[in-house]
Amino acid sequence: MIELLELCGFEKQEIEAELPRIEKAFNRLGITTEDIERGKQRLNKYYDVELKGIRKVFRLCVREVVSAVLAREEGKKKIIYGFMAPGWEIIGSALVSKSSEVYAANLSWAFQVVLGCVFGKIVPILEAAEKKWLKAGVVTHCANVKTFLGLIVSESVPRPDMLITSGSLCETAPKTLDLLHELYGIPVCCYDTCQDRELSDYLDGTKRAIDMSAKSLRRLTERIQEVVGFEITNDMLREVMDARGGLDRGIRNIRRLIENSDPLPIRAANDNLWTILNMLTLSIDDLPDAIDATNTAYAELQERVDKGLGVVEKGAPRILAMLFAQHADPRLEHLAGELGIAIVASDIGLAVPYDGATEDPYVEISMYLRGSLSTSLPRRIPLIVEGCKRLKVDGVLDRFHAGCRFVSGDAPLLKDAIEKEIGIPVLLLEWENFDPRIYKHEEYKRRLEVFKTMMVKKPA
Amino acid sequence: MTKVVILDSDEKILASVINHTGAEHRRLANKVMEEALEQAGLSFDEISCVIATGYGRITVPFADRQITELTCHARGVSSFFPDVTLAIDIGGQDVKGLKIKDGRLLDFTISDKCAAGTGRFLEIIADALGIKLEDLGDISLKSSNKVSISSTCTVFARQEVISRLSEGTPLEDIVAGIHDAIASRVARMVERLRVGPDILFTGGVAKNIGVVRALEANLGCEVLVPEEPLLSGAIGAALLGKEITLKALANGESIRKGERRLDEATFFK
Repeated sequence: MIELLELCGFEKQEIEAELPRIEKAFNRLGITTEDIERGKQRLNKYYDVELKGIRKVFRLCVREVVSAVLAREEGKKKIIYGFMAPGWEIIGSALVSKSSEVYAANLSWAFQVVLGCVFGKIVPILEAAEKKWLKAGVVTHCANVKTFLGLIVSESVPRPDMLITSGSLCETAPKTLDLLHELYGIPVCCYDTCQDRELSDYLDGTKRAIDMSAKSLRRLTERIQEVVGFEITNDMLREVMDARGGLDRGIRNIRRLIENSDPLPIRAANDNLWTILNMLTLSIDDLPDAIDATNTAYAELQERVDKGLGVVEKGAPRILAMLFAQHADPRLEHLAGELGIAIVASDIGLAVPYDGATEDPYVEISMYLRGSLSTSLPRRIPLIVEGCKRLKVDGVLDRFHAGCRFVSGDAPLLKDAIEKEIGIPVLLLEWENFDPRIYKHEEYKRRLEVFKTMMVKKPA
Repeated sequence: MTKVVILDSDEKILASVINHTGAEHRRLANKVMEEALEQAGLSFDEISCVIATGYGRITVPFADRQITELTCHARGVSSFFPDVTLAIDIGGQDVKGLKIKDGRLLDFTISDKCAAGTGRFLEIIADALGIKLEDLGDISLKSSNKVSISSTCTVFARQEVISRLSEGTPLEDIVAGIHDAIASRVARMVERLRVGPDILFTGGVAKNIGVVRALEANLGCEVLVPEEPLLSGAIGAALLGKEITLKALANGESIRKGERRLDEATFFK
């Protein structure tokens, strides 16, 4: 266990202090000695844990998981989980910064890293959800939703006092949370982000839609205040947003460094960690640790770049991957690297914020929701095409999350647009971004090998 | 099936061998290579470049290079019919669609999640019907009222076929229905890759005239079939081998890893 925690960036002193908590939480999650051994192997095999910055991100994920599992018995009086609720991480951070009696989290992300990526043991959680209403088989239910539901119904985490979601990115999340409300009486708040607009409105990013989201987020805050019993002020949100700005910049700097480097200085599976880090509802006290992780990783990567060190050969085909790296299983990204393909970015790295400025934190969060990643296909296509040009990629891996209506329908249209506009090959891959059971090594290897031959190789 | 093609510098086929693939890939690779060399009247040392392709390519002990089968297919197909823009390959393991331009693979689709529509599927159906695989094509052409086979799963389709037989449906109508089920599935699969009318059909199933006709009906155009549809990948591999050899010669390099030998090898070594 100690070796594992060291690989996850825990210092000796902290291990001594935290070991009883961690062991208790891991026991609760059914983590065995064999799992610990597997975890060490997977960390070494799939991640650049020789980089301190990477280890520090794992540390924050482990801490989040432990805190979630033990939240109730460690005296948290109010527990609130958000799910597919972009912007909630800011309100959540404000809550945990204000009161040590509140636990607030985007529940599934850290568990996917720790149980999925590290231990390879997310499946029991998915199966717990499948024993409820998200059945396996005929219908492809999203395994992210299954993870959220599975964690609650398997009692891996305490039952919350409130659930938060939105329809911004996912329509299954509100439905699932509604069912949790019906079954267990857990209050649910779904803030409105107005997806049901005319297509032409998307291109404008209308003020009307932003105002509506801001109003809905204010109502959400009022509901949360009723649950936690204290006021959430604009100043609290602003303080968190300012602090998180450092984290955003750190992650952006890392992504830009990776995008502009040849050879690729870090294995592609690590990209998932930056996404997750940004989703954690870190308190003001914890945010410096997260920012330090990004700054440390940046410095270490810069050193690799300066020395010309890479994880694939210089001149390897560069690709953009649609969707972030698999959240619970690093094998596809690892396979791409083994085959000599450099995944230099995912579309999340192409995110363009909504163009505007405001003092009102709710309006600012709403502007963020109008950013490029949560917008419509007509707006995303040119962003992705321009991104491909800027990144000078040789191909696009368009893995589409089959259980998600938001992205699965886009895949062939996006492929057509990229091929027509830039003339680079696009590999469509039916995909599940949260379920390791879909991984078919031979099938993916075969497709990626052919895809590599289709890309015009640049001279080294 | 395991295939070997030996080409000379003028791209003339000196030898071609087709054999059933068993579990011992390495031993079979040696055996078919020996046969091909004998047919060509060459010693192994006279072979300038050996390219291995297909599922078992990494188990060919004497290969100089391994190249994916889709790349080889694209190259081979273009050598037969340079104007072809879409190739459909139905082999024993899977169904492939290849979008091709100037011998280069532009896009592809593979159906390798289940055996439906593959050569293995037809083998199982032929077995259920008690007829030889090679007779399926001619039998289906006698059909005047093909039945609709709704299952795309091999096991369920077999059940459906047996059920039709017990109902007294004529054999030729069942076989024609099976061919149509395969063809409609493949036509949907390759629809996105179609850019022109020139479509080539390769792989073992292309020897089945019933599937060829069913594909033509579903695609709404004539489908070309090369003289030996099983060899397109092997021919493409040999052509790519020639290109690699010429490039290496031009650069004064050698692509051979050492003395050419057909060592006795087993599955476990």
